[in-house]
Amino acid sequence: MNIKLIGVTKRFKTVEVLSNVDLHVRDGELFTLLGPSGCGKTTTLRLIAGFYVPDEGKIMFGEREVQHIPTFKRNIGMVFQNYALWPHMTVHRNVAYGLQFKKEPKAEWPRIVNEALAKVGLVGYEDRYPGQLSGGQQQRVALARALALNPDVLLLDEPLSNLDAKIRGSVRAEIRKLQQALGITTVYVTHDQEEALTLSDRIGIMREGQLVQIGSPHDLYERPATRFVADFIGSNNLVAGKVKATGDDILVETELGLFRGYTHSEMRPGDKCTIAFRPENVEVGTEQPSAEENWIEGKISFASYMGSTLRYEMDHPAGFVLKADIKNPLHHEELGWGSDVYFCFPKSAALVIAD
Amino acid sequence: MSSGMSVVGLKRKLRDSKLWILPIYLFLIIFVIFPLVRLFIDSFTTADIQLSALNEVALTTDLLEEKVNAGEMGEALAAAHDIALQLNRSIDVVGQMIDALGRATFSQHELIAEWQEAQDKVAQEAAAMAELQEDPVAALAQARKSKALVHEIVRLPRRAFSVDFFLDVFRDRLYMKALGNSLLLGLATVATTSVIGFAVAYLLVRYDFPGRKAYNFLTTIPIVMPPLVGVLGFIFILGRGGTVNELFYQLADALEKSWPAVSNWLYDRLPFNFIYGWHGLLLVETCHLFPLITLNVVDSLSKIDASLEEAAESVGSVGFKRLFDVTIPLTIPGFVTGALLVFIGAFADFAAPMVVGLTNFIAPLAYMDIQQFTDRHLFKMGITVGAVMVLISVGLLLIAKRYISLKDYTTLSYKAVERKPLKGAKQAWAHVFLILLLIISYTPYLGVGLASFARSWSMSPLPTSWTLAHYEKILLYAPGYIINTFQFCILAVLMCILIGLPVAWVMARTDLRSRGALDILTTLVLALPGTALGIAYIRAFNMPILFSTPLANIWIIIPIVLAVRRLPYTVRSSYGSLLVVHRSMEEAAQSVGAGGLKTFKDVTFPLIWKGVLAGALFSFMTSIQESAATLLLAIPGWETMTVGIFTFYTGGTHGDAAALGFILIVVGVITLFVMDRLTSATTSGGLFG
Repeated sequence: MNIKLIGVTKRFKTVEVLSNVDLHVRDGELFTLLGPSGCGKTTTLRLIAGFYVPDEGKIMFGEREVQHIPTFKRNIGMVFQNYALWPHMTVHRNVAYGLQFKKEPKAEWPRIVNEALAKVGLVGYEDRYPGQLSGGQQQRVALARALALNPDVLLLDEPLSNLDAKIRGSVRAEIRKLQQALGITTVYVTHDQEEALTLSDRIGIMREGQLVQIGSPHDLYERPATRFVADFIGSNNLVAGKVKATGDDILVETELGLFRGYTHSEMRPGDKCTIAFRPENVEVGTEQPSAEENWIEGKISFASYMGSTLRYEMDHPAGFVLKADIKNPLHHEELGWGSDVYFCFPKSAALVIAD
Repeated sequence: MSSGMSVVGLKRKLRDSKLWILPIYLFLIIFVIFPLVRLFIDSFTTADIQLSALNEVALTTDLLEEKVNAGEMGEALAAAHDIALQLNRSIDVVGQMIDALGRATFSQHELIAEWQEAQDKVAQEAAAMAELQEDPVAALAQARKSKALVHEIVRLPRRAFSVDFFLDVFRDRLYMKALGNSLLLGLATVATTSVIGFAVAYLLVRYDFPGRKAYNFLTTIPIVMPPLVGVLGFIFILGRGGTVNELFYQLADALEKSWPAVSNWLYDRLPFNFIYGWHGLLLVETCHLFPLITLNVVDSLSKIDASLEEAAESVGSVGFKRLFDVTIPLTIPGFVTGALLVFIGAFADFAAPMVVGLTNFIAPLAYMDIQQFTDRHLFKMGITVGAVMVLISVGLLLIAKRYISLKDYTTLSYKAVERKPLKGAKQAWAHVFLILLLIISYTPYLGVGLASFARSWSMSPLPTSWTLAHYEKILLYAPGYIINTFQFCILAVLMCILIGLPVAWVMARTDLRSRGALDILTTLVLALPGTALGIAYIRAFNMPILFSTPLANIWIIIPIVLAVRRLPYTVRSSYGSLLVVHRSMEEAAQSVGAGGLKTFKDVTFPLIWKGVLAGALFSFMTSIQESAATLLLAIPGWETMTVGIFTFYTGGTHGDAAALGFILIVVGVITLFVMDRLTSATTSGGLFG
């Protein structure tokens, strides 16, 4: 089942929380809505679920227009941020509760519940109450409850945010495997970019009620379309400037000097732009590089050791803080704070983004 | 140096041992545990045998003496004959006593031997008396001997422990019927208040409509109104000669010509009996107690996370199905708390049944048995009934507490379900329901207000002329009721704070082992019916200890019983306030050098005083309305307003009762208003913490 949002706008009183959003979730894919808090991602999910009705626009499930169809007639399965397991019902009853509304014969219930619990590896927990389960188990019961109804669409609202960091990774992998095995169209909401990158077929980045960019994890990391996306996904050095010349390379004039870079968009000399280069592509040296390369001179102001990487920060007098990562610092001799250094980055790693 | 260290060490030890808490424990032991223990000991130890046959011997001897002196020999002979019969019956009665003592759990040989001896003597007297049936003068001499013996026997000890003595109350048809009635009243009240209380709570929490906040406030008022006044008020408006019936009479009058059939039909049936009997009692209790359910369900309902209901909707459950499968079950913990308090309130109320003319309930029976003290048998029954009431209340409390702890649905963070605006016809129905409820619930206060200003109010829907005479009488000629009430209640509140705050502090801030006991004790007191506590106090403090007068006859007993009754409110509110003040704030004060007392004064107290004061005001407000314990313990010359209301009403001066009642209402509303101001964001309900 594919899902389409066409020109959807949602207002709460006078505040417009979603503005003219167009979105197409393909059949069988895991689509993640990613963004900072208050960007409208949960509102979008709740519109798809049917808890809200859009003020403008259409929502399509396949060929069916659903924006005026109540939640319980949309055949969705939803997993809530706090799981929303009914504390007065056992695991079995939680999972089985929805079956009566699907008119499943009662004799079938134990089999269906058992299948659902088997999918999440919780067979044998039928008679427990939610209060007797760990967070990870509750989360899986919530998933089983959603899957038991054999929904067309699975909606997950920050399902991992209440879990310990340690088990978050394993539950994340389980959700992905299960989704792949079932081939169920899934919309996933999170504010955690790492979660989004590792889990999704495609990601929609949202900001202030609008979708800024939609793409695969690769696309978003490597080809951010806007300064916001470049900044939001991963770590980045961003320097504003003006296009000086175009051609094979793009020449950008900034407060820090002239840099060469590449772009995916049409650029003309004089356009305002931002040059973005990731810390992992920066080389740190103490000798002045050749004039052909992009480099910035400054003093180390901070170093933080994170085991697999060492990050240097350089405070540039022009008011920039630039970052550089040393991968595998095992054989690197750490530079002291205040050392004079050159941050050097190739033009192939300098993406020029139109403003 | 070392001696300095040891002094510091000793000081520290003294401080850590928390000796200052001991007087508080002592107070709780003397005024909570001891009376209850005494009540149970009494109900298990006194053999319940009617010794009236023995008393009759004494009475008839007096009669014989009179007749002999008057020279009425024929009648004197008849009296002598009666004495012989009564002596014979006394043999049986003493025999029963011996049997009863024989049933004692621990053998009572000595006691039985004494009674055996007494029985033998009575038998001798009976035989001697039988011989002297011809000569009244000789019979009189003999009868005097018998009278002396009887006096001796009546004073013989008869205390022995036996479960059977306690169970006697369950073998008595009258009491069993009364107990059944009271339990039924409790259940019926829980049923009616649940329906109303839940409906009100659901409307207030889930919907938005004009006037919602006003309804929220107004629907809580009935619970803080004095129940005794409520009953009187209902009678003024709904009684046989009350406003509503008078209006019906006028209607019948008006229809006499135009519609004689209806008019006659009305005349045949008027006055309608709205209030006297079961239905009236249920109405009175429901109107008074439904806010207990509302408050507790509102609390539970507003803490249900929105996603629990959304999850139900996402699997297809909507409307009533969702309401009954998900929403209502989640309110059960709060509901159980409310229902328990409602049940105990209705079950142990003695004033309302008596005023509406029903006495075959357990609480009124106990009250009359104790108050009228007609004979030992009844007095003993009163005591046992008190013990049974304690047993039932505490039993239910324990079950409820256990049930609630099993069903702890609270989550730390939750997103409340959004209020839905209520529009059109639905809104109209909500207004109709709530306004109707308010009209019925406020009827009594209106009635009391009208009656208090009425010079004459009979045969008319409203008073025909007005007067301040009742207030004059209350304020000028009998101000004692008001002065006593305020003195006692202020004293009681001070005691509440003095005892409740340290208790709360121990519960919130220490790991003393007695914490659990304190928690149980204060919750238990909440469930104790005033009637039962009053009876327990009468039994426990009826003998002189320390003072020459028994404590039960000194006025201080009333503030003490009020303080004990209201202690849970102060403890709960102080405890809640203390929990909010994070311990680290106190530790921070200590880290910059403040001592324990200084920390409390400068950091803790400024942060909690509002909560403590709110609890104290609630204690005050409910203390002035206490009728059960104060009526039982009333000491001549030290009566409170509720005692005054009862006395005036039963004495027929309804206007004066109403004036006192209205003052009580006004004081209550003012206190409530101040409390509301003080804690604008106060949480209600959840009395079990």
